[in-house]
Amino acid sequence: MNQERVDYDIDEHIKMSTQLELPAEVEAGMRRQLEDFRQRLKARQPGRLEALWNSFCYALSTPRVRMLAVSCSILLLAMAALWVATSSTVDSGKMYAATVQKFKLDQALAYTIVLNEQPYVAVDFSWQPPGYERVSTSWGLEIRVDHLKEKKMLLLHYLKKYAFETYPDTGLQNEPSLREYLKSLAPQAEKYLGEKVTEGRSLLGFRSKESDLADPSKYNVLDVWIDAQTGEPHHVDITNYEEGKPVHLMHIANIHLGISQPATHYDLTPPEGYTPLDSADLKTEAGPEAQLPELHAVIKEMPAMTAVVMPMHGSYVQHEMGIAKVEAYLEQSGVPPTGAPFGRYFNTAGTVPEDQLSWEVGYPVSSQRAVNLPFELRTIPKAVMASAMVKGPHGEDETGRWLAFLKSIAGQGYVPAGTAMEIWTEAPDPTDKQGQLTEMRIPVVSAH
Amino acid sequence: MEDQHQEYERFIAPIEKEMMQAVWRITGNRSDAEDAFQAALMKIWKQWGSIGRHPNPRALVLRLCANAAYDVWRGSTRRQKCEEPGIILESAADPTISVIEQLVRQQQQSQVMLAIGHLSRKQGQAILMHTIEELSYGEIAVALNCSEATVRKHIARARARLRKLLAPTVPSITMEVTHL
Repeated sequence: MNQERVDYDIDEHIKMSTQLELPAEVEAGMRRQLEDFRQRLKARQPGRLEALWNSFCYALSTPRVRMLAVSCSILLLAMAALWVATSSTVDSGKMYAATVQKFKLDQALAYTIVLNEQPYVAVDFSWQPPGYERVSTSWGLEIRVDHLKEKKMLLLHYLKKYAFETYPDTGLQNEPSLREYLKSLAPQAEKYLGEKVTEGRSLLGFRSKESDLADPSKYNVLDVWIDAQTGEPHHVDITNYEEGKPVHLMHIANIHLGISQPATHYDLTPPEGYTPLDSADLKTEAGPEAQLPELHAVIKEMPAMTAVVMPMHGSYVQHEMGIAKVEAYLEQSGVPPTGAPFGRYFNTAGTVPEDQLSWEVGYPVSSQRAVNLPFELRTIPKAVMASAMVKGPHGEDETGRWLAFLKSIAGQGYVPAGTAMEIWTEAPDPTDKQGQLTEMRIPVVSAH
Repeated sequence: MEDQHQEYERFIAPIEKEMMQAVWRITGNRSDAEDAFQAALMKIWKQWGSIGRHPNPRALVLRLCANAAYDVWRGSTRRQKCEEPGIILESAADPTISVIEQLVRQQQQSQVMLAIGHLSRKQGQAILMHTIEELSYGEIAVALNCSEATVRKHIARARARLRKLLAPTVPSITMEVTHL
């Protein structure tokens, strides 16, 4: 007996065992149930959605109208998607227009410009009606302007010097023009960039492109990111493209509209301990140069550098102690330094109290390796830097050297854009202080 | 409303008798049959919108009937285990069938359904649809929303299990068990 036969027998047994004739009275009862079901069904109104869906499915099941049904469905879906996208774009577009209007109307404006995403490189700008203006740079230059009094004060925090300049002056052209730039944004963006989350905040992005009519190869791409919750501008990225030149990114963050700054922010009284610097000295070729060391800043791309550093806080008198500690640690770890010791400065004396000074000293090393606290492994990225070498005892006439260095940088059309750094090289004869070399370095970007 | 009526005529009217038979053959008594049929109609009501879209509406409706009957029968069987009722003789559909023959048939039906009650739900559904409703493997696959191969597997396992379970009471299939 084969398997099929066996299967047949069991199937037949089940079939025969359940082959119960349906009694008439049971069938009658079921028919009443069916009739009741039929009546209820006749009275049943399908929901709109169900009716639409049923029609759609019925259409799909009919070959002749399948293509039509599919086409209509695709069209409906496309329209729905367009409606959703358009409504979203319209809403976000309104938000952008409102933000642009805020830029235009709010007189008080403050923001920080971060150049090429370098850390600690920033320009804080603020404007307060009816005509107060302040620019504070991370490289120790501060300018306060009172447009009502037509008076401008320059503070050189590295040098603890101040100067008053004749108004108007060309020294602040970039910042006010950026303010005007932000105040004159077009009410409509060219492109909606979508949504991103930054620091837990949902931001909506809008892009505009501005070409230079005289030179089509030059153009700016402006991305405005707006807080989706508050409608306030969060940050603006301006990317400058120019043929044959590196791309510059200007990140404008910490934007505050309509917030009043304290009066001291724009006070034109020189800080205590600052001595006057004749503004004429900064403009003429003769005079101060005679007192400043002769040096020429060289602009060049410096390779990345790995170093073991020791973060420092407070007074600069700790330099020797800090360097000695790093040196001892490297010797103990069996890691030979690959270069001279250096110091890097994240803020400037004069801009913060002495106990808040933040800096570090370290030695370059050849490779990445784990280090123990308080030491840290630091990678200083490749960057275009200004560099100048001066001869003489380390730490001697620092203000004069840096002033000459910054002047040389400015004279070549660059502005500082990074953490200031000094590298100290001993003379062949360690007792020869006059033979010591100090290299000053600072990342720079083109001022144009 | 007219559409609903047309759909009833299209999907339900042609298989009314099959629906009732399916429920009756599984439940085997009037009370359970009417409960099961009502439950089946409720399920059909709920799924009315999707019946017309189903690739095999007949198989779907019969599956709903069989499932409802199977569920009611299992519930009834559990209650009977507790209550130990006597056999309730249903009035004969065919007056020519003797009372004895009727009792035997009910006894056989009860044994088969008890054995089917030991199968998994899918196996039970598949074997009932195959033997009682005489649906093809393809139709069962559509009704159970699985592949035809899976249906064959369910049915093969159901048969094997039923042979073992029914062997003591059905000598004719005892021998075949040894050939497996």
